[in-house]
Amino acid sequence: MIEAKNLSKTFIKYEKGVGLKGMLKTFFKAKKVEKKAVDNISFRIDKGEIVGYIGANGAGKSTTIKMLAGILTPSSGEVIVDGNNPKKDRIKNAYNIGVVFGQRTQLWWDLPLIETYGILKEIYNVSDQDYKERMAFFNEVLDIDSFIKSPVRTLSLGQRMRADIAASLLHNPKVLFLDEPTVGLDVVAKQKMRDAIKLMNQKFQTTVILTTHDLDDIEELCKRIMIIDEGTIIYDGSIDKIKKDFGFMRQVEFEIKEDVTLDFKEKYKLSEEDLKVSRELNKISVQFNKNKISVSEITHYVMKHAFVTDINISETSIEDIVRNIYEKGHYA
Amino acid sequence: MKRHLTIYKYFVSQHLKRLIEYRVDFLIGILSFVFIQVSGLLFLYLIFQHINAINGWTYEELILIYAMFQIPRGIDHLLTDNIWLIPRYIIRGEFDKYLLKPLNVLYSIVSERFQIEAFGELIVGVGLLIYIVPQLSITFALYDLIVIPLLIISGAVIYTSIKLLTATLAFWIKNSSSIMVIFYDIADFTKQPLSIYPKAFQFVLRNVIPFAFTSYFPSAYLLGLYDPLTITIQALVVALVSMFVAYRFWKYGLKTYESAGN
Amino acid sequence: MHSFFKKYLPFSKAQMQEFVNYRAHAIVWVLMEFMFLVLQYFIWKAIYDNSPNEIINGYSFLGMITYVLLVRVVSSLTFVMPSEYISDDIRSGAIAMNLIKPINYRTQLFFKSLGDIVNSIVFFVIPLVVTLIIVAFFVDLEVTLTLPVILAFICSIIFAFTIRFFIGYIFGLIIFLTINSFGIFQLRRAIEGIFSGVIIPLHFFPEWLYQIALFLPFMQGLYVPVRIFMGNYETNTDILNALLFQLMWIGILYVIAIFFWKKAVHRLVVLGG
Repeated sequence: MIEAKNLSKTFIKYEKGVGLKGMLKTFFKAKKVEKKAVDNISFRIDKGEIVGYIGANGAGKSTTIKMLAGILTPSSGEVIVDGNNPKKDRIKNAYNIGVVFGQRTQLWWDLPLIETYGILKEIYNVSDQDYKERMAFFNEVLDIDSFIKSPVRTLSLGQRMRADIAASLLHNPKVLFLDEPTVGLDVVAKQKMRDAIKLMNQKFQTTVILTTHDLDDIEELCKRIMIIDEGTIIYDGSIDKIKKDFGFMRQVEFEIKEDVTLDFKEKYKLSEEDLKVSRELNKISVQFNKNKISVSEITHYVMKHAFVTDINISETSIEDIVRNIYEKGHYA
Repeated sequence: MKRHLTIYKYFVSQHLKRLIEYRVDFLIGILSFVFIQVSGLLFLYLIFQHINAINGWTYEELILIYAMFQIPRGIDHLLTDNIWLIPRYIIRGEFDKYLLKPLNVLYSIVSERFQIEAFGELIVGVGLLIYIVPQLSITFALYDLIVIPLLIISGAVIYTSIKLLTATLAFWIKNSSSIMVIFYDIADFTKQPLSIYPKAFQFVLRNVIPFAFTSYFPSAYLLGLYDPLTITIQALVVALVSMFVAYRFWKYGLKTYESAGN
Repeated sequence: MHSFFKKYLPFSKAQMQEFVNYRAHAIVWVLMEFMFLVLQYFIWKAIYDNSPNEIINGYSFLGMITYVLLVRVVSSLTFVMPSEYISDDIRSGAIAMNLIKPINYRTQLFFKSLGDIVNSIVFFVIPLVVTLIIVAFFVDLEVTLTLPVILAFICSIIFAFTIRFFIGYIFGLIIFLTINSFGIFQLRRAIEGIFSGVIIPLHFFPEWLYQIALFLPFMQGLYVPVRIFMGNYETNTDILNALLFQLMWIGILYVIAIFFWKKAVHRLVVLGG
């Protein structure tokens, strides 16, 4: 469905001078600075996949999405969405895609929400039957009837995001691009969003690319994730694989009564990878490689030196795994 | 095509509904237009307290130019007002959404806004016309039923073209709003008879930024200074060339558009 | 005092920097303003060429040219757009944030406007004044400059800037309260055009219209400084009166500004932005 081949995007920015002298210099001749936002990435996404696309801010996520959506032209390389070149076949491609940009809305600001859907119905040639069905579906999953008569500018963030996702799905696009769709939403709204996406995917085989910082989104929706860092993809594979490969990581949290000094490093002589300790007020958090050190050893050590009031043992979260991958710079 | 009309109808009806809802806004809009019209006419009136004619053009004839000035401008204002906001959309990252729709981008932008307030300009223009024509002994022929609308439409097309051309600059320099205003304001100079300007300026106003075809030449035609065929052909050619140039430039700008950051 | 400037001066600097960044825009703007001046010249030339009298309403042709030039100089020296900034802030929603910050919004806008003035001066007024001086070598522009006149002029410009700032500020708040940007901009521009002397010297007005102009602040923001510079005030007492009148207007506008500000904050609190 989606194919990216050696995709790159370089932005040319003009460096602004600092201070009065710098400002005047810039006025007459500005320095060109090249920034490679996306560096030679390639991937394939099949129909019906829900792919998580994660990375730090500025890593190149949005740039990639924009190239897939046809808003940006790649500096080099190729991108194909359902057989179309998004930039060249813009209108054809537009029928196939739905986009939700977290920060910006595609709804008409001054009009009541219902009008947005009416206009979109015309623009995308949605039949009366389909329109009725889908609006009912959106109401069921996203509960939009409660605010559908209000002007868009009066909606809360949560309502607006739900409305935006409905708007992006009204024409049943083959591909859905979601750029930070759950940012700033409360737990209930987030769940509604995820349900809507899941259902659409199940029913219509909608291919979804989801960029997000919320790893719960990923856990719930995606079977596959791609991690981008500084313009390159450092991991592209299933979530299960990551979990398995990092499956040896465990985390134990201690709540202690008084502050004590514990020197794990001195005692156990293990690298950061295998044993990582972080402290926060009365909590000690230990991430460890269960093959290198056992939970009982750690617990024994801590309990020997501190008064422990609570213990919590868990698998390492995706978040920590991803952080580890960042820090390593690659996924080996 | 039908789809485009349906979409447009949608926006128009929404705009009307909104206007009725926001009566205060509407009234303020009307008020400001009244003031603008008054200021222009006031200038003429005050000047003609001291002179009889400017280069042979009498007070009544200047009113005619003023009236003809309003009409194409009003039509352009009515239909393509959203072009003014293009730089703003680009700067705020609100432009992308037009690229994501399966619709001609320019049409998408332009159809969103139907400035009913522009009827103010049209009413003033037509009203002044009705008032001043009897005082000028202008005779109409049957072909004027075609000639005059064509001249007016050409004028409107010229306004739109120049607006579009300067708006397109926003793709590169982002905030081209002031340039848009400045170019648009150049039209103000065609409220006067062309002969008061040096030849070079006349050339510019006729061939480069051809606002002269929006007000001056139609007026001159009505006063019998030009024959209908020549003036109509010239006006149409100028209008079509302007639109062609503007639209090509717009397409070029779209191609090179780099969506701003987040 | 020092910390006051430390807090607000960055806003001026930011404005200056922003202008510099848009170089094409800056150059075009300057060129175009010059073009307008030249074309105004032709309109008045045509008028005076067709006039039986050399002097109209106290202005000779050269006097009128001087007037037109001075109108632009003073316009630029007092060029402020607080209403645009307020309007932008409203649209972007930043206005709520601005009200919360421990920085006085009005003062922030004021300093932003100061930055704009510096831009104006550097990029427009200086070339214009140079032009004026060059023209003055060839043509007797009928302006006599004495020390009191110059001092009064500077004083008047400062007052005019403040007045125009408050006008813009008040209009900005009105925009906030009525949610119609473009209409109000147009309205203000139109009214100011007539009553500040931009379109035509106010002495061309019939008496009753001139009286109305006195009841509006726009004249104080432009016409008065220009008249001072052109030596149109006969005695020093007249000049002093004009300055005091400006000062009085600052007071009136300040009160009106506070009134609208309170309304705006109230509206913000009630509607929640």
